[in-house]
This record gives sequence, structure tokens and C-alpha cells, in this order.
Amino acid sequence: GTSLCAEAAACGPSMGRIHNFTVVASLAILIHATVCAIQHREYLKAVQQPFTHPPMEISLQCVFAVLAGTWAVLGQKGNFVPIRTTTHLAMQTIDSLDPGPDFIHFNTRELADPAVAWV
Amino acid sequence: LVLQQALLLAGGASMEAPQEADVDFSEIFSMDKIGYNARSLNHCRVFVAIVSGMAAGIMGLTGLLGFATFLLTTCILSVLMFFKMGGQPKPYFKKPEEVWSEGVMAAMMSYILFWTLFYDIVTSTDLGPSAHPLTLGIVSSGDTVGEAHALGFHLGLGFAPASRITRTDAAETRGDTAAHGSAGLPLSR
Repeated sequence: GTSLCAEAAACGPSMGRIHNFTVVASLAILIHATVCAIQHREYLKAVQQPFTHPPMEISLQCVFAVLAGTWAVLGQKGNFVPIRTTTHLAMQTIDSLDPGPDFIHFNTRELADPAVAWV
Repeated sequence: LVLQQALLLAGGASMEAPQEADVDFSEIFSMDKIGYNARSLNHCRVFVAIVSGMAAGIMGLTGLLGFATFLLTTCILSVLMFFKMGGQPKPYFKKPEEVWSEGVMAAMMSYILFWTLFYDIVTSTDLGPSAHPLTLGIVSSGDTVGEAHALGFHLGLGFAPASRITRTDAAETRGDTAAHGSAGLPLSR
């Protein structure tokens, strides 16, 4: 089955807005994490301890921002279309092929004996 | 087949015979749709590479661990794309295996750029009161003068390293960039 936001067009513009907002939010979270990491390193320099691993909150921010950004950009720009024309052609019906009786004219030929024209 | 071709001409879709020998020659591809898919895929891959590169730089990942995170996030994106296509990638790619590998190399360049950029920002940025006003607070501490010189100069960001010895203005320090190696950048470790 398809994912929840596979038919973003069907869900309307609200899903598009959520995706746009989440894209921007993930970048903002990463900028915030940058500032947090810089402050953490300054703290380590102040107490003269070496850097071994980032603190848990920064790691969580980074992981969450990456996952949210991935989901959001797929919802925003992940609308793929089938590339084979046979897919499109397979969905056509006979009505689209034959113009139909719209252009069938009757009584176009002049008869030799007009008396029998409307029998 | 004649009817299909007539319909294609009527529908205005462009035809392109596939080039690869192992692609089924009875298929006809639509070039504009291939281009649309390629643009969408490239946009997604580059964005995920940028975001994961920023995260890797912030968390201080170096060396092979950094490349492993790139592969991991690329795989996560490919899995999400696979499920967004309903588990059937064949209608959207020339070969169904391309859902895992297409566009990865172009994204790797963006990943490396943002990874090294944010690693350097986090490692050698001083937000304290010693920040020079012209550089908006993005200066390096004394230990990493050389790499900040090189990185800031090459990236054109106006990095002005504030060494412990002197504290000069941005134009002067940018003028005498020393040819220091990039020993502090994550790739060399």
C-alpha cells in the first residue's frame, strides 16, 4: 500500500504546508543544535576536558531533524510519475480512441429519386 | 504497435528508444517524465545529504563514521521512497534497482561540503566576548588559526581568526593567508 501522504494532492494544500513547515523546521533545529554544540565545546574548553561524544540532547536534535527533514522533503518533492508511455496507454478506453458517432453524417448523398429520401 | 504510435503522436508525448542493451526494447520512455523524476530525486537526495551532513558535522563525526552516516541516511531515504512507490519501483525507473543508487554520487558532494563546514564551525568558533565585531562572532581560537584561514578564505565567508597574539581586522588577516594544511578537517583523520 502507499504511505500516508502519497496522495498529497488528494489531501489538499494542508499536507503541502506541513511538509514545507517541517523542512524549514528541520533546518532551524539543526542551526539551534549548532549553537548548542558550540556552547558545549566552549564549556569543555573552560573545564579543560577533551571532546569525546556530543551530549544526548544535541544528538537527539540532530537525529530528529534528519528524520523529519527526510520525511518532509519526500512529501514535498517525492511525487514521481511513471516514465513508460505504456502505463498511460493501458489506462485508455475505447471512447478516447474512436471519436464516436459525433461526426457521422446521415443523408449526405443526393439521391436520384428525391421522393424516397425520408423513408 | 502502429495504433500506439499513432496515439503517441496525437497525444504529443515524445518517444525515446532506450539505449541500454538490457532494457526491454518494446518499452517506450517519455523523456519529459524521466527528467521530472530525475529532478525530484536529485532534490530529495541533495536535501537529505545537506541535512545529514550538518548533523554529522555538529555531532563531531570524523572519517569512516561520517561516510557511514551518509550511506545510512541515503539508505533510509531510498527505503522511504521505495514504500512511497508502493513497493513497485519499476514504473518510475528504467531499471528497478535504480531506486537504491540513482543520484547518490551527486549528493555525496553536498554531504561532504556541509559535513566539513559544520564540523569546522562547531570545532573552531568562539562565541565569547573576544569575538571581533566585523566577523559577527565567527572567529577561531588560537589552536586552529591555520585551518580557519584556509577554510574561511577558500569558502569566502570572511573568517577572521583571532589568534592569542594579535587581534587584527578581517581584511588584514584575510590578506595574509598562511599555507597551512587542513590537518584539523575531519576527512584527514
